[in-house]
Amino acid sequence: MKTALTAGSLVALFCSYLGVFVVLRRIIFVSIALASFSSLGVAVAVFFGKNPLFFSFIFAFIGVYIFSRQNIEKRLPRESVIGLSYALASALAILFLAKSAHGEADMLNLIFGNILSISNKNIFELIAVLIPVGIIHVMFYKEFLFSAYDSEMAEALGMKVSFWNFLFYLTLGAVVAVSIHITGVLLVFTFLLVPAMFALNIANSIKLSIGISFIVAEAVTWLGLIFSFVWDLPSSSLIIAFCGGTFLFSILYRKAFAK
Amino acid sequence: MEELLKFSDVALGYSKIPVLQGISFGIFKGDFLGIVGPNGSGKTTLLKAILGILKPLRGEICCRGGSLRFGYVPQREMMDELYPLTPREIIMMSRYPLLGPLKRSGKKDKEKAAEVIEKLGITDIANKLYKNLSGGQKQRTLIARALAGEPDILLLDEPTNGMDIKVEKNIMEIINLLNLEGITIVMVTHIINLVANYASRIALINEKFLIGDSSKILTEE
Repeated sequence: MKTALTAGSLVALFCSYLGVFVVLRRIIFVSIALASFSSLGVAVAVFFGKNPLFFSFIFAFIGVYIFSRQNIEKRLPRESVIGLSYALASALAILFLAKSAHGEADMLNLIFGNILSISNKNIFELIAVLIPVGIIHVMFYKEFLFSAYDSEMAEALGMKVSFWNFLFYLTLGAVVAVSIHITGVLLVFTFLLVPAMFALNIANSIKLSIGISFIVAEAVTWLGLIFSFVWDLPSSSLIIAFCGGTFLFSILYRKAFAK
Repeated sequence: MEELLKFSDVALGYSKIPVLQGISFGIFKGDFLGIVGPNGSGKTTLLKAILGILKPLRGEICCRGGSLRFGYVPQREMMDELYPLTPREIIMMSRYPLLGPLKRSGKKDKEKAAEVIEKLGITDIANKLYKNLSGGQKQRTLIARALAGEPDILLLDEPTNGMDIKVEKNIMEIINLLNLEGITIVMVTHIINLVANYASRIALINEKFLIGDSSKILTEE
């Protein structure tokens, strides 16, 4: 339980922070597509009996390379290529797992994770990836913000917008890849989306949004893990259910107190 | 007058298809250049080439020795209002490239932001949310942001679009005042009457590219 709380808290912390930018940049589809690329990596690794974390990274970075390009396919909307990538990667992951020794169990693990069974080694892997990502975001917060908010102005003032976008996607890919084989695709995607939605729905500044997003993600993680133990329910699903509940609360809060 | 930027027989376009061709002109220090043309004529394309965002298909764009610093005021509709930002935070952003990576905004940056906020008369709204401001207040915020970067050239894309006559006049007077203070202005608009009273030169894009003193261009048209 202690390792589950530590891992859940770390994943919640970083995903809820990145989630604020995922929602603001309107790249929600990209985050779910990256998660499905990463899960395909895990499935390929399971199929060939290789290291899932390593393959998760390789496939996430392939996704980063594709999605960080401004013009993926000039004749089609960017979203259509991202949608296709998501569907294709998810389908391929299922096909690879269908032929693995523990097909169904692996598939469920991939989607919902198994946070209660993670080891200290998983925690160290998580920390090894999350610390550099944290340092990069502390160091280059203003570059990430400006290049996301007004890329034309940033470029006109001499900033290398494509580089900062690529670096942002790279850190997002790294966090998704390392988190996915601990908490599963669905919870990573929920952490990237719902706490940020909650925060942006009620906060009047980006820094406050990040703070609220942290608190919401941590609160639902702890509540979800504790109550999943008490009620004997799947932890990831319960955390996601609590996340949904918090968003409903933010809607009611806005209706009651919005100026 | 010192020439800041020179276009020599430039062709501009997208995916190798030219939108504008044979463009030759210069932008001089202290200029107020109005770029006028109907919607879809290539005004914003030309603006992007001046900013260096769009590379020419042919020809050459030369900068004054050393690099030029631009202040860019985009069309208000282009700003993303999902971001919960105040005018002060938006204005501070144009200081970021001057700081470079790893450095945080310091006292000098905050003083510069405060200076342009006061100059544009937006002190009372500087800490409110940008998305809740009126069109005129938003425009003044964007002009203040462009000025906070201490530009050599201030470029404005349709700065009075969608405004009533009173606010439009107020914005034009602010732009004119900045020009009288020595700031080089390049303003894009589809309304020739709007810049005719203020611009020293007009570039007219309408099938062909004409540039000259405002009075000369207006007479020819």
